[in-house]
Amino acid sequence: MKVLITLPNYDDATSYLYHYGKKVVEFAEARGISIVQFSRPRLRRKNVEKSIEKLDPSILLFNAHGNDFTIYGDKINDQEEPIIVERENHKLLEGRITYARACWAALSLGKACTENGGCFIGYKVPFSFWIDQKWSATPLKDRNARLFLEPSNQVAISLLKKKSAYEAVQRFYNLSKKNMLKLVKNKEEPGALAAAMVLWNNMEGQEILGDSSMKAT
Amino acid sequence: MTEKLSEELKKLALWKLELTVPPNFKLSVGNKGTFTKEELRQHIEKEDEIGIMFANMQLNFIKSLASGKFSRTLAAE
Repeated sequence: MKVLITLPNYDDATSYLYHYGKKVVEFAEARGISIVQFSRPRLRRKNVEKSIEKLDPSILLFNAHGNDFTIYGDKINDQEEPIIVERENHKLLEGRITYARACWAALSLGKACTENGGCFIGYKVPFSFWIDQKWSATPLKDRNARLFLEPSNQVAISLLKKKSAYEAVQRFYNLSKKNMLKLVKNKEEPGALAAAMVLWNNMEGQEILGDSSMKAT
Repeated sequence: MTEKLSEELKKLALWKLELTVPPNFKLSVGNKGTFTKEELRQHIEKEDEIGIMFANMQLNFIKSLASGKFSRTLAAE
């Protein structure tokens, strides 16, 4: 199994995604899975494109900002660089399992890149999470953010365990539900209902497109 | 953006924000940024893209609670 992961880190959101993405990398490395990481300064469109063409990874994990048509990489000269763009290079994703922990990308890009095979797991809403300002410099210690980022990490980890895309998404749903139940039980705690609301948004907004029975080979 | 919030939804969103969001929380919304409670309040007041998105997120959650969809989802195996 070959895996490619992007790890931008230039603002609050990407900083949290970077640290949680690193946990996925640790999981893969501990199991001897070949995982190619792209972070600054190698995280550039041409490098990612070349790597997908040359290594032919079966799983692509994008931790990024995004929109309906684009998955971004790093911020270069104050501008986010698009690394996957519909109608430009989206065919690179065909035939693979892609998990885009990025906003909106399931709306159009995900559909386009699964027209000829493959599976795309993404979001049709802005992937959102609460940060506790006390912990923003140490994202893995932020127990609030963990409620959102741990279930989404489990999508990637399940794929690495050779679970099907469908099973990976079920794992996300089940963990999100478990977290929501915990929040509802403790609804008097500050922020519990606000956290449940955002978890619900992410859960309702996650989409699986293409062949959901696909497993990594 | 031409879409605006109804007066009722705006009041509801501000009230829920005040009631449910602690002052140390910041909401990360993709590449739109990260927003403190006070910043969210200002966005709702201005009825801009972020304010409308946050109000609609709250409305969707309230509807899911009221319709029983939220409870059914949590109870489902």
